[in-house]
Amino acid sequence: MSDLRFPDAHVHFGVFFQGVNHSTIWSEPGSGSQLHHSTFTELIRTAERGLFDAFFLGEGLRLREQRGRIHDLDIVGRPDALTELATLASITDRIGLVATQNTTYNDPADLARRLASLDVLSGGRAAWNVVTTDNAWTGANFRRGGYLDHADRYERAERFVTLARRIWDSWDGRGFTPVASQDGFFDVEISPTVPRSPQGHPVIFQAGDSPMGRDFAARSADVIFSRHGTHHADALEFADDLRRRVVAAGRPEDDVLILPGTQIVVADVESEVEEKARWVLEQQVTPATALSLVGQVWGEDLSGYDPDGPLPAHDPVIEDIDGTRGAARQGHDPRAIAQQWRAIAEEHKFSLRELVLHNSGERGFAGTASQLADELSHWVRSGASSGFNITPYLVPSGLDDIVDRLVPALQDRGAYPSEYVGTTLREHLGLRAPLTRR
Amino acid sequence: MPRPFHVLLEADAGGWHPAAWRRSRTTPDAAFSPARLKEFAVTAQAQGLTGLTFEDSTLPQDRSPLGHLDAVQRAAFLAGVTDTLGLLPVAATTYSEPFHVAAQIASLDHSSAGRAGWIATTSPAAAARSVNLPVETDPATELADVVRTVRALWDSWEDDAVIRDVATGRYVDRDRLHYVDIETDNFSVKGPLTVPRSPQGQSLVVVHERDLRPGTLTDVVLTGDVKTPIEAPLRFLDVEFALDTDAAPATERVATLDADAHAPASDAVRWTGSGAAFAQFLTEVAARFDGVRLHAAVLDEDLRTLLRTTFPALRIARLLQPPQSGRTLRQTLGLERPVNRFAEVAR
Repeated sequence: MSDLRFPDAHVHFGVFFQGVNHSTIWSEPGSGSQLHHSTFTELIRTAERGLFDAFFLGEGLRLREQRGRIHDLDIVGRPDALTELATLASITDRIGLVATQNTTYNDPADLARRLASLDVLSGGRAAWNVVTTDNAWTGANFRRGGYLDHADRYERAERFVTLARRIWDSWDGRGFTPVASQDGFFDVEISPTVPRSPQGHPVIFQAGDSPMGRDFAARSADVIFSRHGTHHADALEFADDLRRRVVAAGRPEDDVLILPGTQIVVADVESEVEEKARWVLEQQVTPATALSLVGQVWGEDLSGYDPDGPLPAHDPVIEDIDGTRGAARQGHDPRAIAQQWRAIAEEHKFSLRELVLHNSGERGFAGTASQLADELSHWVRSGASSGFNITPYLVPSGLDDIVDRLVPALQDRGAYPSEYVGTTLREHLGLRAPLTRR
Repeated sequence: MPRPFHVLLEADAGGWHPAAWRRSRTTPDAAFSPARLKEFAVTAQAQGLTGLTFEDSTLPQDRSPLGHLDAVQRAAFLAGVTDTLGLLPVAATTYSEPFHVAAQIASLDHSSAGRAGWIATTSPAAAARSVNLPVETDPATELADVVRTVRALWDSWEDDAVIRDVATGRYVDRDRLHYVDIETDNFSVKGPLTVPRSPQGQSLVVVHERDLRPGTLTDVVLTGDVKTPIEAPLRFLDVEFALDTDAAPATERVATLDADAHAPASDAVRWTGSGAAFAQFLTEVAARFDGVRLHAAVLDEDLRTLLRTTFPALRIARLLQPPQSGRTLRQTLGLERPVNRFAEVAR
């Protein structure tokens, strides 16, 4: 094991309550309300018992649609992230509270203030997962309407974060210094009203994956919430690329933590691993969901098709895949995807749903607690990630196995903390002082 | 049985007097302590108050020279540690996104199991400088537009929209989700909201008389005018008070505070005197109003006296009736749960 790059590293865990997507199973009796306060309370208490660093909430700005109709197959409907996290701050002591918040449809003075308020109320446990949006479809719900092209939205995001940091830095312990900006994006004069929290600033997470997004994270973020949470080689390549960008931005290479989003299925014994992972997958990808996912690529309603039959014989009727169903395939060429899917289906003799199950199956980790502890600690110690941001496939019980079995197995290997050492999120993550306060 | 009477208490800063924080039991840096906020809410709930209100402004305020935390955040924080107390934060309408406000208050209603109220306010022109938006020339009319929009968004999910129909694979019935398609002079909102309909259906909406226009859809009007009757489902009198304490009479206390900092004029009734006389005053108010919102001159001093000398008399007069656990704020106030405008009667 001497070839490990970070031989003493600990695994960091976060939990991501998505509130949308088909990764959360709703059809099982064990699936709780997606909205009732008890669901959030139970899930976050389990995570805190398991010494997780952070509890993440996603942000909803518009309900997903497919071909102009509200998508009805997946879990949908969730609380406002910062409001729910403020409630959770009062019933927890240590765990970090991360709100995904958009820079396109928020205003720096307002968002910086709400984040700072959560940071003070939680005793220094707040974080902001910075995201951007680039479609007018979402803008239809907002005063600020419209949208920015890809390059502009990152520039706006970066200036937004810079301005937020200046607002958080305006408190000198006795009073506030007004913050002014005239940079073409923000022509404002702000008089801050919220003092600094014990962690200085809310922690900044960033989830972009494009080269521009990675550079933004390398310059501005404390943690990158990546998509590279399934294949080790892919994750390592991403992590090495990010570290190069971080160094190029003039920061120490370990200044940005890498937390891929992932799913973890814990089985009792080795012989049950495959069966349990398959069960989870089949609950996630129902026949109706399989038809809908293929319909998104083909650009038409395939709900009349047989999910156990073949893919449609004709080519997709659309030129581009729109993002109203979720951004994963937005902008990709549907004909190319169709061609690729047909090849896989022919090779394996897959039905339509079997193909979708196959495509969706390579996601995250499955194993016994012992297998998973070996694998996850290897990921972290080889530098492929700093830990994992886990999407539970069931709420609120989906972390029970992880906390009761995987965490002790990691602790046995010396790869997981045995208690919270500090009180702030910045301390849990082992981060340096905020970028503007070094 | 007298008509129901409700007591709200304003929780912002050290009190209504700008010098209050100097009299506070806590040091300035503890003024924002979450533990202090919790203690305050637990006391208010134990004393049978109907609710707490949370004033707010994005601009610095004379009354809280130390600054102040976002009101919705404070209210939401307390939702987790209270179970009967109404929680009524200010959320301004003038330079905010109606969609965000609707989502925030709906979330507060969910996490408090139906105890959310929204004090919809306007922002002064100076606030426009912090947000890159033009100065709103008619904020009260815009407030009415925002309230109308937020109420429509609160109805955009019917109560039974989540169906979890395993047979068809459908989680929601899309026919029970509705676009609101609102367009005003200043903004348009498509909908539906991303937050399902909340326990109260629509959280309680409170508007100050000064921000009221004909047609503003409010449940409660706050006013400092004792005499002029206003048309509204419920009317609450805004009262700033200072009480005689063991240390000094109220007038002397206010004079000492005034020497430290000048108290700006306000729309509220200002009242000074003994706790017992204050109980008598509130009893008279109860004949003409549905409730009061109380602002203590110095929370740490006046609240103690209020609880010790005013509340016992109110309890005897049955003017202070603790909200019952499991009831929503609307139920406590005797208001109906609004019917959803989009729900079809015949379905």
